Amino acid sequence: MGSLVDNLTLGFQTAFTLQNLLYCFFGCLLGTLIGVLPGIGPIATIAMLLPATYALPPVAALIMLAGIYYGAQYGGSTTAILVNLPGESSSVVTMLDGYQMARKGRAGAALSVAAIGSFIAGCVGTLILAGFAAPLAELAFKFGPAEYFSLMVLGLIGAVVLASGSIIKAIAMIVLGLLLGLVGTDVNTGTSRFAFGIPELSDGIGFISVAMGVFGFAEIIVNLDMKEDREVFTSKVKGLLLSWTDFKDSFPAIVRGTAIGSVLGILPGGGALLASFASYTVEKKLAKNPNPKFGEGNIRGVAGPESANNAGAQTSFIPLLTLGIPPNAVMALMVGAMTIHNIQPGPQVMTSNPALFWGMIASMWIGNLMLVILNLPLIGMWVQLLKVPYRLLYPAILMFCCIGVFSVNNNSFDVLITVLFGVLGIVFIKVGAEPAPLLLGFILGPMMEENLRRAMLLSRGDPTVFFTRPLSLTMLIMAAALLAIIALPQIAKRREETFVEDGVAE
Amino acid sequence: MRIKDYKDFYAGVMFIVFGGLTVWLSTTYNLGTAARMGPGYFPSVLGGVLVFLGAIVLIKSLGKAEEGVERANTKSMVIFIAMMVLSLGAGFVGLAGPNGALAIGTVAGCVLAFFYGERSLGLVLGAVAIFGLFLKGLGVIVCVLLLVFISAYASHEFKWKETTISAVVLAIAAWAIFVKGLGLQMPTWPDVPELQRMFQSDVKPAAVEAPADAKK
Repeated sequence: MGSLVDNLTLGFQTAFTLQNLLYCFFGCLLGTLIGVLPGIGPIATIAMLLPATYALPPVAALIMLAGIYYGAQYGGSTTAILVNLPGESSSVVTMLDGYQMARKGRAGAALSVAAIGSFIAGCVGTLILAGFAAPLAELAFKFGPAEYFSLMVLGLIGAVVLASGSIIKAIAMIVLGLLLGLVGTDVNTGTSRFAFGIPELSDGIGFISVAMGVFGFAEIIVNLDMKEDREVFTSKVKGLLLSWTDFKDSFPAIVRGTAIGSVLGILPGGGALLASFASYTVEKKLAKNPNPKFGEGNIRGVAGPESANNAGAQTSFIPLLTLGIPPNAVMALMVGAMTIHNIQPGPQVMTSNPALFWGMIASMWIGNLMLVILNLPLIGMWVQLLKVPYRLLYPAILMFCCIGVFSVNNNSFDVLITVLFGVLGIVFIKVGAEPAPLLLGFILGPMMEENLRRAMLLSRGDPTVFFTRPLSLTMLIMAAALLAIIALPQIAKRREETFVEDGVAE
Repeated sequence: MRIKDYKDFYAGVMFIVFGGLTVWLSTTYNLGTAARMGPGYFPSVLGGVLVFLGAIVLIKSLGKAEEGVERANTKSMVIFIAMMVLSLGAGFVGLAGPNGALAIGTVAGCVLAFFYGERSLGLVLGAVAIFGLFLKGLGVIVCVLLLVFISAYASHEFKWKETTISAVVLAIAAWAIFVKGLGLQMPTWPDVPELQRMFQSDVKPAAVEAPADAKK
């Protein structure tokens, strides 16, 4: 493996072909287009647009997907600022001050600072990703099945920490997800499990069906049932340029947000949501006599969380690319996308297909750049899109979803299963069980079973293997510590307060 | 015993039902030993854990009701369960080939939801189910028109003229993007032999289409 510079050079050579740049551009464009629609977060956006990448070669497909992801994130922030409707949970924080800025006629400044903060954070995140990838992948080769199993336990527990609401319900959702992931043919014995004699089910449930049903369809139905008026600040978007005071105020927040986001993104279960919450809390604590106050349109309340969220989004690729373990639901979708292109995410990607690996890292940076140079000038277009009434938008969204699901296997069965998951998604919303941990469990289910079986086989049925191997033990202790921390009464109360206070009571 | 928190109560019931079903279904698979786990081992353990977690959620939801706690809608819960039982049940029985039965059950579930208070759920998901069921038989143009009309009817501000325009535009766009542009395999116009095959109960037309190599 060459030096960091060599690797990045290879990456940029791969990504800087006209074809790949175009795909990255289209990815960003499409991602923003769908992501800007109210109520549609990155998970639903990626699931919807995934079919558009099937026909592409793997490198181009992944580059386009990375573009879609960043576009969707930025689109979500735009909606949060202009409409006060979060497209995704990590935009909730942006909404607090961003929307207030828009109400005061400073929507342009809010959108600019979000884009600039995201770009700076994205650059740093890319560098961290490139720097950490090689040593972590080395470490990954020392991992046996026991370590992988413990790592997945840690990741899943981490996912619980950031789910709002009841911890027990979140764990139960993970278990339910793991179980859904097991539907289909058992790899070791060839037994068809939970397939009810339906041949399509022996292949397992498609992850797109789960994601689209639970996140896409369910959200559309919930939006339809809410009849509230939205106030869109469309005419007031001007003054994209930041004033010197804005810049002076927001720059330290961007730097802090980037640092927080980069660290939290790497942690299993971390990622964009946790990062933006943490950054907002820090900014609020650090500001002495903020003017205007936080929650009333302070630019730092937009700059910090937006940077943190993008840095976290970037560094959460690290566990995925080096260990093959997705740290959150979006990355779980990326695993699915990579598998469709016959790439098994993990440390071997870097050695067996360096052009793909470094090309993807480079394209993430390009994706971030695209967002700044394309999306800011195009902001008027996205605003126009927000003016289109929802009653015209959602049938179109449904159509893209349906054709997308159908085209995965060219099969009407997948569409019907998605309908069932749509019903389940509504049930989850009605009973207050957050679905993101379910998707993560769904992807990890087969991997977890596989590694558990292998570990137990190697140890001849001795379960202490998870505690005697130091790496595995460390991760299990970390998982137990995490659980203990959030279960402590004071912290449980604090956690509840943070979510409620910052407007995420749901 | 009173129910304190309806959301948690139903969540607990849901987890217990799913966990219980898993454990029950897993009994038909070989358990194996800890060293050589059979296909039933991991799911039975997880199913048990799910039942346990569900029981905790359920027990915590019981107690004296506080003022102002929202009551969850029992009727809609019954409808959701009925929908799932209808479609999975029909799929399990497998009349008219597994796909046909699953589709008919799913559509029936959506119709039920539409008439019993879950209007937008029934219309949106029903439109999707019909789209999935008929895409191979009726082709992309007709299916998109159906999908847009049925789903748009769920909106409170439904207008015939507006919907007609958007349906036609979307149908043409879908054809141009997916059939012409991306070259996805789906018929443009209705395909009569395929339609006839769909409703023959003895042959299983859709099921033979090599699902194994599509994914691996």
